[in-house]
Amino acid sequence: MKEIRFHGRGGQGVAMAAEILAAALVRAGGFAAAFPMFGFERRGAPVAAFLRLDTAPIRERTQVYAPDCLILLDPGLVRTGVIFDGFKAGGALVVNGATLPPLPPGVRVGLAGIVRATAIALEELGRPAANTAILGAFAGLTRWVSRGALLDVLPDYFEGDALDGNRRALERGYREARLVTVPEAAHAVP
Amino acid sequence: MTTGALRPAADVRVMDGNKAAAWAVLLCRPDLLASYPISPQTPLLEQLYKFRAEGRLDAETVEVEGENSALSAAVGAVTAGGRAFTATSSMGLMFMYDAYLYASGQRVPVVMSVATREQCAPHTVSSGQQDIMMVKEGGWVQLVAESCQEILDSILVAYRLAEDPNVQLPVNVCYDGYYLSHLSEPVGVPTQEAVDRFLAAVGVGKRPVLSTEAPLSFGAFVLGELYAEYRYKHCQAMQRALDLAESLDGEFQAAFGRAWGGSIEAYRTEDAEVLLVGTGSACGTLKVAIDHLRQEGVRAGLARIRMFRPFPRRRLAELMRGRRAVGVLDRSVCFGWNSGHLYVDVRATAADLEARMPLVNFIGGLAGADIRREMLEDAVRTTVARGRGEPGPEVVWLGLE
Repeated sequence: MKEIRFHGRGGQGVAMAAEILAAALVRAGGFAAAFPMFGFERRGAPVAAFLRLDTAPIRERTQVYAPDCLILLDPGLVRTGVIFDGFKAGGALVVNGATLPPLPPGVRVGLAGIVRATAIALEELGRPAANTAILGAFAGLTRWVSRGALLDVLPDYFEGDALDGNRRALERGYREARLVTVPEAAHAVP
Repeated sequence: MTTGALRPAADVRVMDGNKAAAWAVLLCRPDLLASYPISPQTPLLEQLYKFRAEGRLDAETVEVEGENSALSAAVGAVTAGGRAFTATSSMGLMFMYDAYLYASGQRVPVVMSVATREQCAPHTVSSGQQDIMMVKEGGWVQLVAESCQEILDSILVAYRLAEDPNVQLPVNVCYDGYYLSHLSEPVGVPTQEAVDRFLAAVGVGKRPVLSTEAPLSFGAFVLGELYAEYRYKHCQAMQRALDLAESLDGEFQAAFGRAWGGSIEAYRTEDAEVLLVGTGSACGTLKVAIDHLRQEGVRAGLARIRMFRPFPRRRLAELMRGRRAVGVLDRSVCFGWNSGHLYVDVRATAADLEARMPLVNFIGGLAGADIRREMLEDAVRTTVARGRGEPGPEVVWLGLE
């Protein structure tokens, strides 16, 4: 089983990102379960979502505490000091932005990637819903899901212009994501 | 027992618990949908309105000014012979309480889902099972699901139970708010033909309804002995609902390829030294905890209560008999007994057994607090320790003590 934790803010499509990824993973023949966790609903408030993927049905109904992958739609949340809690050594990190956020001491990243998902979303959708662009990046960087499976399920979530825009955003996220080298300092164990 | 496993051939889609409930309602062809939004149930009603806008759901819709009216509208439709659906959570359920008691006392077979939520105060919109516990003695049948598939399947069963002429009682299909209402996972959607066949045993013409052609008295003022007769028959009907839930499980499996266990799902109980008892989504995590501990030689099993009201007393007693200890997981509190509500029922069931065994209650998951696997493994270990005679508090608050 692999576990993924999404961090972002209300309005970025965090919950829907997790749902779309779960749908794509199941479309590809696997099992997945995803749910969001938010407080009193409001735009701009921190939102987390949790996703598990496996080759067998998933029975856990709990949050993700030891993620194999972190997807940061708002890397500014790193300032809260809890985003990397439990992050597995050698795990994957997918960040919305032009650079990696400062990593806490002791965090060991196996694969780090960046994508300007908000910029892509603003250009393709006219609003900062960075979810589909970062899913494209996730697919390109980790290969845990195919771009095709993600594109296949988009019509279940969008229609008309929104569908076209999200397809483009997903494709661009896939193409424009870049692997980055994690600074050695970030590997320092305190 | 293998329960609820998906068959690959099913029309499997990823959806959350609210959508799974909406699909079930669509397949049951209700005549009336009464709605008033409240988190975390709201997306279910939104999905039903979407189905209607798309021309897939041919139902009257009533947007009311509050939950009391929502249930009352559904009661009216069902009394006139139709099939109705409504849904609620938390304070919405409290706000319809007099209609809730009316529906059961007048034996109106309405189906209402509850996306369970903590009950205020302090104010919260998070998950919990306090709301359904507050109405547990309201005379409704209460089914509780562990997965999104089970939500869909339970609503199909709910109409069979509710509208059965030997039962004729309202049914709640309860599922944990957020942990299931907003959990996206694969759900097999049965065909309309299969659901129509399954529901053919109930429906129009199969039960008494209000009609000018065959007048009946409904909602009459009743005193004394006649009132007692109403109550007596209601209690009898509750027990028939329990029996029917057991037999419907086999029929459901024949129709849809899935068995759930009837009133209780027994998980790895055959050789279990200790038994855990729980209800709802946390039981999924508890099964994983049990599997994990069994690798260390801990022989634990789970009795997952699927039908909370009427309470499956006889079956649970059979599952408890001979265990060294029983641990009960609650997501609500019973102020009167300083424990969880399920624990009170399990303690009462224990009185049916010849031999006593240690009982211990674990309370967790209030207001959306996460019930982590590690907590549940500790709970199983504590239950084992009690079975060996180790002392400790009767009620353990997970994450608090």
